[in-house]
Amino acid sequence: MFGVYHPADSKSPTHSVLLCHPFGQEGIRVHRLYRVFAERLARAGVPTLRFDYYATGDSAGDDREGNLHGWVDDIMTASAELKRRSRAPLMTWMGARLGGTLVALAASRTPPDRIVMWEPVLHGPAYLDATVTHRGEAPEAIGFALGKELIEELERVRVSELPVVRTRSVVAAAAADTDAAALVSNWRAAGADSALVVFDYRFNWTADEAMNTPIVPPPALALMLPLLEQLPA
Amino acid sequence: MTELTNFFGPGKHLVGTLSVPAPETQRPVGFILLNAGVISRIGPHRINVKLASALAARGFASLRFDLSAQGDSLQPRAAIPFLEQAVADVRAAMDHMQRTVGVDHFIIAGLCSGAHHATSTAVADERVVGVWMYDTFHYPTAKTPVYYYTERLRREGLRAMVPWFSKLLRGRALRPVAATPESQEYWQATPPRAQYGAMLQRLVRRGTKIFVVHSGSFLDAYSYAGQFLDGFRDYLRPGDIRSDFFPEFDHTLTSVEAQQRVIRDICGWAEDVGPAQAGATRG
Repeated sequence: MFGVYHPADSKSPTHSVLLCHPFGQEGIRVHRLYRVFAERLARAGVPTLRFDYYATGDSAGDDREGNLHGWVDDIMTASAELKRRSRAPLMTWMGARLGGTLVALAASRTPPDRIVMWEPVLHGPAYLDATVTHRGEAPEAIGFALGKELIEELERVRVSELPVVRTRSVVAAAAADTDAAALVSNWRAAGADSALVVFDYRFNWTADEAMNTPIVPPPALALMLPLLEQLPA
Repeated sequence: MTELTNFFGPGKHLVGTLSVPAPETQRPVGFILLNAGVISRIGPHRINVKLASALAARGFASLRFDLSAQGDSLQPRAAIPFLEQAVADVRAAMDHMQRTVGVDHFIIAGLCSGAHHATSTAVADERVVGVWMYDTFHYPTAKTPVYYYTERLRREGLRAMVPWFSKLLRGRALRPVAATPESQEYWQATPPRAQYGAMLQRLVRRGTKIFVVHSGSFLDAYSYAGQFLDGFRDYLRPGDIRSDFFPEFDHTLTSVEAQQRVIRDICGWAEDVGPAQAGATRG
């Protein structure tokens, strides 16, 4: 598994951030943005690790070998590595799109001190409808081959099916995102400390080329950096 | 295959992932895989990762890396113009492979802007024995608009001809588009045809194997098989370079089928590229 650790300028950081990628083309699109997040957080005294799940990005593995449960394990591995390197007592996991979904799934197992989800994928079938460009025997999503297991797992993703995360959670999503509002409402009803941050900026998650679309949009920096720099409550 | 990612280069500011085949299968030629535009070293749709794996299975070591300040690489200590820095970076990548893997000859593979850096480096460094380019500069010919409108007519019917009739009225119907030196391919100005043709000729005479592939994403500027060679008839002879055209492929190889085809073609072509060519036809 490939990852980049950004050590903090501070010698004894109080908290760290683990950046969890979206899948496929969305993952390609956020690469630069995550690097900027990581560099600025490190400069602000927050050690940060960004990494590629197995069978994605620069990590080993064929596209078709990727699946949600394996990527949840990868988050655990990356989290342990970040803890070992940073020695910071508190940790935030942040994930955009499917990265947000994976963060929630992983946090329901072993919660960090806080999770931050940016436009998480909360309805798998809708996500598949929007991204699958070729179906049949060899399905693919905007240039990435999909394994059967991943498709089955994604088809089961629903707000109502996501386990309650007991740690502090922040969900950043558009006001019109009823699934995000429902998730926060469900988790709150179950007694969890969950907050919805309305973020109406429309990031072009799947543009196939970076030309003419911002890859590091200032509104995303303005929202995420202060949030991630804060100590998890 | 073994993969290792680390920093390299004179200032240790470049990041690359080395893919090394089993030692007993390793060939004497290595591949350098470049960024496409602002996409990190994995390439569009992870094409460089997939290509590295296929190459390693055939005995080719490869290094996919990020140019200065792109992907995971850092800024160099001293700033030089971007295009010069790109060539310096690719040469540093070759130095790194020579030192770590022991190959002395290289094939550079690049899509879009990567294709431009590939040829610039090949001109500057004789260790380059092969260049694979996808959607490099376009040099339209008089036939380009004919094929372009024929294809649009086939796809869209008569309404595709409205702009052509408009140009016809203005006497510009058969003027090739994007043929001027002022046109831009990503962030690099298209070199004048004579300059680019002479450069290709120099590389061919040196023994560098060249394989150019064009997609159908810029049909108004590249619209038929053989256009590349037609455009450089004064500089290249038939058979000097390989030029393929896939109108059904897009600029970033979005379909997995397109990726597989391109990977298969590169692997097959690379079998015939080696140090034996370097110097054999030099003169």
